[in-house]
Amino acid sequence: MAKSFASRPLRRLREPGIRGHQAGAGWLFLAPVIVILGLFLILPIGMALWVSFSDWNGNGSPLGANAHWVGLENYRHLLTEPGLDQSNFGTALRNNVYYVIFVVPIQTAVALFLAVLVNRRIRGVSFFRTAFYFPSVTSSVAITILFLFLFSPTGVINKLLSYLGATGPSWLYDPRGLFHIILGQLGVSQAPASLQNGLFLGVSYWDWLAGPSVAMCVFILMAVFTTSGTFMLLFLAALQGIDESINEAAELDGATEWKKFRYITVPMIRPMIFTIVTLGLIGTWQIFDQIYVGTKGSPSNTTLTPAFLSFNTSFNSNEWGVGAAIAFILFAIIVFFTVVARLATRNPDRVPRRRRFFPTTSGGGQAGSRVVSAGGPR
Amino acid sequence: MSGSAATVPEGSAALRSESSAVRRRRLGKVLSYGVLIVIAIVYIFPFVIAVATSFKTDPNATADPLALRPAPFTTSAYHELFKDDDFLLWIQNSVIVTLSVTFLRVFLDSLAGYALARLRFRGRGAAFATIVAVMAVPSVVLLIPKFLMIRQLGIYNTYYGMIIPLLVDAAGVFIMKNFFESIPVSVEESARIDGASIFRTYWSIVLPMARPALITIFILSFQGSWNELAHFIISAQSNSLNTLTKGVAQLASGQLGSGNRYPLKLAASVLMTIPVAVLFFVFQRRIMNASAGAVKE
Amino acid sequence: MATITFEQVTKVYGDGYPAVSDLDLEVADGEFVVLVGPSGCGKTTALRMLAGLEEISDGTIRIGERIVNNLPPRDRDVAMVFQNYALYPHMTVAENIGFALKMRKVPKAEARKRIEATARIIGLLDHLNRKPRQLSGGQRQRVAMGRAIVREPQVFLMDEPLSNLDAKLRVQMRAEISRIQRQLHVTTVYVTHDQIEAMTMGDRVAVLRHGVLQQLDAPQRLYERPANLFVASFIGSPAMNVLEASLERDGDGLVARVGEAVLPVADGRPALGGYAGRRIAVGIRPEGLDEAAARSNGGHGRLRGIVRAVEALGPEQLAYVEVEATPVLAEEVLEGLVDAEEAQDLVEIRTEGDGASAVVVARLHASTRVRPEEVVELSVDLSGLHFFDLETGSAISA
Repeated sequence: MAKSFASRPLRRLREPGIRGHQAGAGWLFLAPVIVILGLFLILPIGMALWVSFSDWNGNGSPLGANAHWVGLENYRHLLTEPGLDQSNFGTALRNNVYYVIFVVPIQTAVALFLAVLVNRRIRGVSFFRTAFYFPSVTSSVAITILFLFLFSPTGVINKLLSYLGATGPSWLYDPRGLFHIILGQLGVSQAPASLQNGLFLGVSYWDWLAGPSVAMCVFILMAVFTTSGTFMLLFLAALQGIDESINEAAELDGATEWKKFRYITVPMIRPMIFTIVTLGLIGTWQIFDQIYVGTKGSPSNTTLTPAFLSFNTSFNSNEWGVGAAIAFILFAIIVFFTVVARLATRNPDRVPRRRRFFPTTSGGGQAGSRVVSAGGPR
Repeated sequence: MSGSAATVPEGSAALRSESSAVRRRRLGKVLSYGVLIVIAIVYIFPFVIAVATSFKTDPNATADPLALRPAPFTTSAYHELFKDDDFLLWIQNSVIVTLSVTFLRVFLDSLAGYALARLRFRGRGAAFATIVAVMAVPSVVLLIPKFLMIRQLGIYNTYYGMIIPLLVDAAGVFIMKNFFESIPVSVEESARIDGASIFRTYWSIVLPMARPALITIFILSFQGSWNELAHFIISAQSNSLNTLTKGVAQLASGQLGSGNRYPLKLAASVLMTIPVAVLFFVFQRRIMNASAGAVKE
Repeated sequence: MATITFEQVTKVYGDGYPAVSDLDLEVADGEFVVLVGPSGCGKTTALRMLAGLEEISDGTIRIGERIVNNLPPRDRDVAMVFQNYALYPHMTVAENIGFALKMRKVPKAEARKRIEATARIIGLLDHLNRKPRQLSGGQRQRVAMGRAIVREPQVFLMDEPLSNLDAKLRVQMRAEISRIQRQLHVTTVYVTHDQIEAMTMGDRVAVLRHGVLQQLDAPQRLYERPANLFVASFIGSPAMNVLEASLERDGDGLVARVGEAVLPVADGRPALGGYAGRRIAVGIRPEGLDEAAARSNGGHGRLRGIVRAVEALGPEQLAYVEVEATPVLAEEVLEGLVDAEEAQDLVEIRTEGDGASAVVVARLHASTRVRPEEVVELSVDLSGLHFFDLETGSAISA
């Protein structure tokens, strides 16, 4: 075909050129992905945005006559109008904030600790890596059921505690906040009036300071248990990117193990630490499966999270506008933390600049690590 | 070590200090093994307990949750699971959805990844930017939007609704694109000169060379869609479309507060974990590398 | 079989930098032409345009009578051997060689026959079922050759096919490729940065620099009649010594004054007359210098200097002699120096004496007695002198 074109130079313009039909093929190859992304990600986001500005109640199509434009009403309802929806939203936010505050640092520290432990050349190390990573590949449903059992009032944990002579709480049935319990131990069981009266998002200041409930603590432990393995592997990749000779040089300089860790290892894997904290922030704000399987927000809403509340408000209470609004507020929160983390990473930092002198550190996901799966482990 | 120490002719002081260093190192080794083993027990023990409990009776599971040896040993939990057809149906649905999603995803991701890595066409940069941007949208936020669209398209409560939205994952496209870029261009140029068409080059030359990346995508997709819960909750309602995750989740949350029936729930959990566990142990090394490789410079 | 014609071919990349400009080149049917030049000279781009892997910005490329500018590679009937061989790693040797036949829907039986015939030519008949990773570097190279041969194309294109082999194998494969090309009589364009490869393999050699064709000639003519300073210093190893000289009339004839030395110009160079009284560049091949102490009578046709280093190479030795002269350090000379390190050394040595002293290389017989730090007198082969315009760098033709 192309041969006949060549003999007729006048038609050169219509020739496919030396790359044949690459343009057509390119779009053809991309088409399924583009169509599906457009259909199930981009368009739906627009649709949901519309719903969040409407009073749609789940009947008929949200694009039909059953939905009316209400402007920012749903957002206003959540953020400024006292009522059940607002206090649920405030409670969910509080719960998730504590979840994030506890999970992110702990899982990062545990993951780093595990990574350092399994980064040695010792026998059987791959067994340990496997063992620590295994919880990460199992389904959230199975793990949640397992934790429900471990932390049931008559479960494994309480049994273990009884051997130690302690009586465990009823865990997932215990709505008391951790900080309230500690204050209680210190003799403060009543809120000072100043904290009792103030309300923010329908939750009293005193309740804002409750800390994660005992039930929420179970989910915090579960998150650490299931995600530390994934992050351990990321840390491990970063650690293995450090040239052994740098450690040896430090050793010759007389650095102890701890000093090597503090002054060599940590600065060199700083970008990875940022990455993992970012992934952690993104992941922890999305906790849904575990709540859905485990508690559905009980006891006393202390394990309610925005993601679950958004789902519940829409699918069970049929307040689709409010549910969608919660989803977009959650989206904004996640975007905010991602951007903040990005900025923090991009900040001119003495350490990354100095790292340029070490030519061998370019390996395995280090400086300026780009996160591929921003969805992150949940 | 001791051999070299013995050849040191100097006084015992040198000997002693060296052997104490050796001893300290050995102590460190023992210590780190100790720590590793303790942590490993913490990580493994729950799974062992789960398996053990699935073979217990209800009263026994409550009375003696710590026992690793069920007494009496019973498979009644498993019998009960398979008593009616529900559980089998869930398995069947999970298998259908997971295999469809996994194979189609591998194919579509690699097609798109190849186009983005190698084919030159206008709009390629924009397409890639879009995919990266989409990748950053947190999935939980998409539950309501996806539901709305699935309903709008009339595929709610169908396999289509459960499968199609899961077919594309931007991260997979990204991984494939990166891999294709690492293949020397000259191999493809050689194929072009040899007379291969674009699709032929992709199918006969590039794809076979991309096997490691394809396996990675396969594993990630299999694991992801087998363990998926939220999407199935919003894409179907009918019990006959329950997947394992959704069915077992209902099983678990349904009875919270009433009789606990832990052996039954744990038996279900154990069974649903097996395929992923098998995959994990078969491809252990690759999985560990793939997860670490998900973060690129 | 076919001729190849480049007419005013230009390649401009996105950044506006012309990789190849106005290339005119004709390759005769069955001819072996080598494109040679330092990296970035445009030789590979020219080859890739011919293959159809790179668009042509301007001009025309013909294979036979056919304009191929917009023809995709597979319709050009060319075969290419890549620098990294570009073998299909998941296919056996037979499948690698047969892939193009399969694409062209050659019947299986015939394909089989042709694959075997090819394997015989490249000597891999016993390895047809191996995968590339089970082969040595040399064998892989042969497979790449085989893949080209089996096609029986109009044109062979080779992009530095030997650069990944070790020195010994390279010499061997050089001969092999030449043999196969002669045997099959297929028009061949061969790209290399190695001037020895170019000189030993090509029927003609095209020297490129900065995307511009400098000279296209038979190897020996290239050596004997370099068209400009760049070609002069690029072709030949060690490189030609290039020194500044002032051309003066001396009675009927001309002499070139290099430092204190006076080099009479052989007769029969009328074009040089116009340069009388001007400064020019004089090129002396290392073999054009000989130790002259034994026959010494001083004066004309001699360079005096101090030996700085001696490299024994078995049958001969290279003497680095510092003479009183101004070296020509024009860009084209430095770029032409093949070995970057050598170039660096030369620049350092040459600039040391404020430009007043230059180091020349003399290729001497092994029996010649020269010692470092001794004064030596070198006789210059006056008939082999090369003269260049200092401003344009072009050879001053005879």
